Amino acid sequence: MAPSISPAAGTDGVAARISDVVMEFQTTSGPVRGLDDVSLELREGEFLVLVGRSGSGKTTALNVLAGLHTATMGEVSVLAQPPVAARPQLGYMFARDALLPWRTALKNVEFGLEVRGFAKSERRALARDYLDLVGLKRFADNYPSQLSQGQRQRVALARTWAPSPKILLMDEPFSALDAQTRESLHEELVRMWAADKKSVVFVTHDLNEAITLSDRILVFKDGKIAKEFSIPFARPRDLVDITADRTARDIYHEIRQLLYQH
Amino acid sequence: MVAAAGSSGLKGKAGRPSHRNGARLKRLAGQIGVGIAFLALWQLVYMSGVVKPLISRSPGQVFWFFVQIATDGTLLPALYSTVEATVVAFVLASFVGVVIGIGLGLFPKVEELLDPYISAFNAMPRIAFAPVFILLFGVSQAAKIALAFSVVVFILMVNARAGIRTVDRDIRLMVTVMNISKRDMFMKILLPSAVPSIFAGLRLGIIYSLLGVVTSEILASRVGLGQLIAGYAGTFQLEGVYAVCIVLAVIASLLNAGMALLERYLLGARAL
Ligand SMILES: Nc1ncnc2c1ncn2[C@@H]1O[C@H](COP(=O)(O)OP(=O)(O)O)[C@@H](O)[C@H]1O
Ligand SMILES: [Mg+2]
Repeated sequence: MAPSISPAAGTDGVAARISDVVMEFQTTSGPVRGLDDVSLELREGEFLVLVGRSGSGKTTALNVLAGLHTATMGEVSVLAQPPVAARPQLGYMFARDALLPWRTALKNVEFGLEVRGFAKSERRALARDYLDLVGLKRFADNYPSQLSQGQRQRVALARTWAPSPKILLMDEPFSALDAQTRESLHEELVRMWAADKKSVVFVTHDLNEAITLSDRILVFKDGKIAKEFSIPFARPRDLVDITADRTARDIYHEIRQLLYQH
Repeated sequence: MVAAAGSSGLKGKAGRPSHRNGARLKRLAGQIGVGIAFLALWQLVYMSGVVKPLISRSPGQVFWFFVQIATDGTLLPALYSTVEATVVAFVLASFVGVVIGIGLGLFPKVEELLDPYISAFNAMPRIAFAPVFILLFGVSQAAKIALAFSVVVFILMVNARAGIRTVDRDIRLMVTVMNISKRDMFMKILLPSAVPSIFAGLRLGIIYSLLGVVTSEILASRVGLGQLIAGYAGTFQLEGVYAVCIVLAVIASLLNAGMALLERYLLGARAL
């Protein structure tokens, strides 16, 4: 089993919170605001999706939650702790897979468990289970260079999931995958999320993906949150039904409008 | 079955072995062809007389000289002495160079202080030290080893340091989010990241070790391939100089191939 994760005291049903955060970067062309006075809450057990054009601050928001950037202004707390302290209960999957080229797929999945101090016997079994889950059982002994981009992405997914983190940050994790693989991974992700009451922040530029997966969508624009949408549909959801649904279509078009207008 | 050298596209399911062996045979035949063409050209140049007779020798003369020194007990002791010094210098310098290089890679503050001196020392033509080493160690194996060491240690130091420094940015972020311990960072990320760069250094290092040893032998030594070259050149036996040079070329190729095999054995299918 994973190290027991008790809900931190005093979270008030909030898994993570960003309050009035400004994240300013010093660049060669002057200061750039990745986040410009952003406040958001990730509720416990919530599936939150961030959408927005590229450069709108989505990745920066995840990085701030993971403690990779220290906010220029404002407050960040994760499980009622500073982000760095909450990292053992955090899984972060980047847009790029960041696999270790000198380890096989299986050993890459084991890596996250090793670093977190899981016992040897346990981590081998867990890693196998999760590789199986993402459909890569046959490729356990392949090195990353011997896998397709989509397969590599799935190894990264298994590595992020295997330690069973309480909070999952996922930055466009499925953008390199074909539609079929993506749908089956959606199912697995939602199943895991529902079973373990994880809280998820998921970044995508695919609005159908956003509507199928989320409880709530935040639309980012120029480092600000332009609008919030609640997605009320019952689960399990089906992509085909959702795209045919009237309310969903309205939401889809409204977000599109927001993203395209200047 | 030895894997083909062009391993860049290694994908696990390579072509059928029979097919690949066919390609290998073809390539080998081509390479032998080039060798024969070279010998023919050499013979032609020799016969045409465009090269001064003082240094001009035919392939046949060089070959018979080689047979003579190989059978009269001249070549083997020299060969042994040179290869021994090369290997000893290489192993010592690699170990010391890798350790120091990793240390410098891990502690940039220390490196900052030492870097100008390391660069300056490395820029000095090391052959200038050869007389010093000979005075220090006498005309001995140790003098040869010292010169080769002083060349090779820097190659490994520079490569190991670069290897430790160039960890993929995404990997760095990934392990940061995992709150990785210093120990795991070193053992599981930095060291494996540095391996390709260290191997590149080892491949260069073994050749430079041979170079250093032979240089030292040419300047002053009792026994060794470099000493043979110096001796034959001094008595205008150019066929001897050429024969030993060819022996050196063969040794260098073998050392290189040995390193490549070792690398493939240690790294296995980890394609880079
Ligand atoms: N490390 C950084 N250094 C400088 N600028 C950055 C850095 N990270 C992000 N930015 C800037 O912040 C803005 C938001 O970037 P990002 O959060 O990556 O956007 P998104 O993920 O929505 O595409 C961009 O203008 C980007 O150039
Ligand atoms: Mg991004």
